Amino acid sequence: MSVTVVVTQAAAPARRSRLAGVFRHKSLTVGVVLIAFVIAVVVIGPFFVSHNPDTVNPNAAFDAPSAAYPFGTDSFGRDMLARVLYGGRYTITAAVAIVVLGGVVGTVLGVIAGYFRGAIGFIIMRIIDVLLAFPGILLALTAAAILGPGLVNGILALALIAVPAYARVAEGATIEVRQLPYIDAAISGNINPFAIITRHVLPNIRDDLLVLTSSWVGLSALWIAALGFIGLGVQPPTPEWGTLLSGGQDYISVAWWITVFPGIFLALFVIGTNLIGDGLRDHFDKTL
Amino acid sequence: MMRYASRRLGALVFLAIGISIIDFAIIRLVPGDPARNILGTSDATPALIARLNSQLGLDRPVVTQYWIWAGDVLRGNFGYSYSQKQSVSSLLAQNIPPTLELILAGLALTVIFGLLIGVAAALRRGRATDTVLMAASVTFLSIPSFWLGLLLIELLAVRIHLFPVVGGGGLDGLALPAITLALGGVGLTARFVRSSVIEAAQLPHVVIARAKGVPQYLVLIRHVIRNSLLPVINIVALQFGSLLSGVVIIEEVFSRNGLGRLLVDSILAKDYPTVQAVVLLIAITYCVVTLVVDLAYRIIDPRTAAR
Repeated sequence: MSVTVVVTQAAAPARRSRLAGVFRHKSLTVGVVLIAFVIAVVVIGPFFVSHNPDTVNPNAAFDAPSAAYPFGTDSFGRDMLARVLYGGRYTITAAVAIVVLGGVVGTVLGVIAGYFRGAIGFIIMRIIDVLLAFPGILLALTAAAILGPGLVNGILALALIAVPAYARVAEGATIEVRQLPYIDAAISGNINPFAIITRHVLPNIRDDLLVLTSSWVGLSALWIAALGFIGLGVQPPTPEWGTLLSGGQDYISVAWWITVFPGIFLALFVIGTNLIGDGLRDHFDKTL
Repeated sequence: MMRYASRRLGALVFLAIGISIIDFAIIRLVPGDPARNILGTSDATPALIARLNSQLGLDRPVVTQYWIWAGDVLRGNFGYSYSQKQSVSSLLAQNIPPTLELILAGLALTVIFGLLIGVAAALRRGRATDTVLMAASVTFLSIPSFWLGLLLIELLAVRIHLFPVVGGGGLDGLALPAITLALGGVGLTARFVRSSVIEAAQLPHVVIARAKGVPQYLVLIRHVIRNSLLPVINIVALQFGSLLSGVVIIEEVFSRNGLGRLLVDSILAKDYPTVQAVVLLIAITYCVVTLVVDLAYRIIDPRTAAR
């Protein structure tokens, strides 16, 4: 008996037109512009600021915004513009680190569970279920209670929340992809699972993960700032946005600028990531 | 239905055991001696440490320790808070009511305004109103709630005295924290309701009703909104979870007593028995609410069972 294998040559995806199409979505364009603005300001800005973010100047405490200090000064007379710009580096870097760490671990767990199913998959997903039972920031607070405060501990604690979110999405998408005929063929062709996963499964679930990532970067920035704000994240005098807000809250009536400016930048960053997430979701037509 | 309910209840039991194991592990994972951690540095006299060690069974195997702890918790004994000098269960009793009040108020605002904005945006789909409402929704769910809370206190309470500065009792004191807590949920619910209404408006029976000349508002109320309300129940369950975690920050901003503030204060004071109790309470509540909503959903809309 002869087996005829029909190989359909799939049309090579038209990558360029696909990328061009992305910018037809209005929310995506606005989001990219916002994020580009915030990141550019935070990366390049500090080179143009004459004040050091940590220089204390008792004579200039609580100075209102002026030509010398465009964002005013805080209770120690430190330049708020410099602190907001340097602070963005901490907040945004932390947000990216959280998503990379949690995303990689979660995706690996989810893909393993979705690809191999069986006992391993069952055990992994039940552990994920338990982690998902802690709503929102609660799991991070639990981790922070154990690890103690700090930048690195805050990143670890928040990455722990991203793990189950990524694992859930990766598992669902992997189960779907695994049923595709050509992956079935690869499995029956006795190809090593690692090769199938990296060559066929991951490219297929990439869109889902991309949509998830864009909103999680914003969420992570919000949460690392929230941890800093309640004193469980980055510790002062490190100028992280949440810590800056926490330092300004007692003086909001006399010096609104300490609280207002870091918050505006944080809000712009999060709005930007959410708009990018919306645009990508529209573009890939994924409902998550 | 009964089979589904009993299966879900069984799953809940396993979930509760998983949650309790993580919760139990908190104090064992903190570096140092558990008894000394519970007592704090100032109270840790050798006699007290020895007494607590035997009480918690810390000299026995970990599994035995878990059984002792779980038995105590099931009997409502969460241990003693050495930082607050009272039993953890009486701390919980004092702090549950204000938090529950805040969450329910936040939930009510989320549902009411989420529905209003979502339906309005769907009806004006593609026009300026829609764009404005959806832009507002994204802003609502992106704005850091603790920042917004600070600004609202300063603008509405300190500057124009519309609300009391620090939440006293009554509805006045509840308004600002509830608004701040609900805002993100309003944005999320509005977006969800909008797409749900748009989807329901395209169902065949709606098109037919419209074609035979049923007045627009009747079609809307009888067919579109009724159909689109069902999925909204789901998002309410989801919102309950984010409200449960949102109160932690909101109570801190508004200096309001409640479980969230108790949790943060206990973490900062290294008061581990209290941390364990609050974490356990919030996680179990969240699971129970999710289960109840899922079951209610099946009863209201039996079609979900068929899917």
